[in-house]
Amino acid sequence: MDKKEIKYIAERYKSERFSTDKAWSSMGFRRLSWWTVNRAAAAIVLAVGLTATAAIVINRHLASPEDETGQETVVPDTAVSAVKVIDFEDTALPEVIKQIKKIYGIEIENIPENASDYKLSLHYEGNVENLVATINEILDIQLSVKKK
Amino acid sequence: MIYLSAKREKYKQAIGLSKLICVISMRYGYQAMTIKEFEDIFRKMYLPLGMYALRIVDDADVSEDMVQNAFMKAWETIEAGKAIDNFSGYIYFAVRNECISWLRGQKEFVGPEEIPEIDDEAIDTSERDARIWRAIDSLPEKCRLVFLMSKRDGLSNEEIAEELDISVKTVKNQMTKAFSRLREALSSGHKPFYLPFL
Repeated sequence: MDKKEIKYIAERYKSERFSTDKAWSSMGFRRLSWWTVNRAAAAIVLAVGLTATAAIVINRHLASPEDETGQETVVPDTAVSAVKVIDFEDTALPEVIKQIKKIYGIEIENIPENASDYKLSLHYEGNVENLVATINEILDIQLSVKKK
Repeated sequence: MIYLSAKREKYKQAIGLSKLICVISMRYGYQAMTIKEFEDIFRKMYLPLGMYALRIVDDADVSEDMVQNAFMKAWETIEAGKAIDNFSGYIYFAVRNECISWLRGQKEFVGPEEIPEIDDEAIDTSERDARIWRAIDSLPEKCRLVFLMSKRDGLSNEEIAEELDISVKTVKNQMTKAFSRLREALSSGHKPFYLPFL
């Protein structure tokens, strides 16, 4: 064993340096599983941009007659399965979550600390569980739906 | 129904999720290397390249920056649809160039001819240094502390014992343990698959 070489490295050693996970993340990459990649490609998914603009949200409760009057409808028992339409354009994830909560009448948990780093452009029509699952898959996060 | 509204001009600005879009682009034939392949290579080569840079710039933080810059530029090249025939060779030279650029800004810089060429010996050294670094990383906390106080800070066994309020015998035991782990790490070294590129 070459003590000279060990000493060379020891003299320059700093803890928590050369972590591939940290480096990969700090370079702006996120780890993608093959499952995520395949699902994403198959679904022909989302667009992501950096420029923030306001969210455009269309709330259309297909089964509700109140829609015609434009009134807000909150139906806790069926909120999760309700089919609604949402559009976002270059919108920060916290705003996306806020709109989802408002439109579907649910709570969302496990919001990542760096949520504002993500911005989305998407058009979605369906129930909230599928929407959240899709966002989770794309962003590799763990949002969960909590019924009100 | 979900649809994609891709904005290709934003790819280079975007971080994180833009890589997903790049994967989709790749699947439509725009890129020569998938992000998964790129990540695999990154994870295998990051530390050895870091050690290679460390021998040039002599600072762990700077060498990390050099390696990350080189990989980012490589990704931009891939993203632009350009093929990189020999990625291992390419990335070593890219790191070397990054280091030279950085050194140009330093007062002591004498010229690129003073920077060691990339050859088998330099790569072997990088690999060995990486194994040493990794072995130090994997030492138990107290063992690593004692080892670094001795080998990095130059303290004697007695000084370490006094500093940590432990016996000299414990210091010696921890040093023996550290060297044993390092010996194991170095003896398990082997030439990685990407070496024979020059």
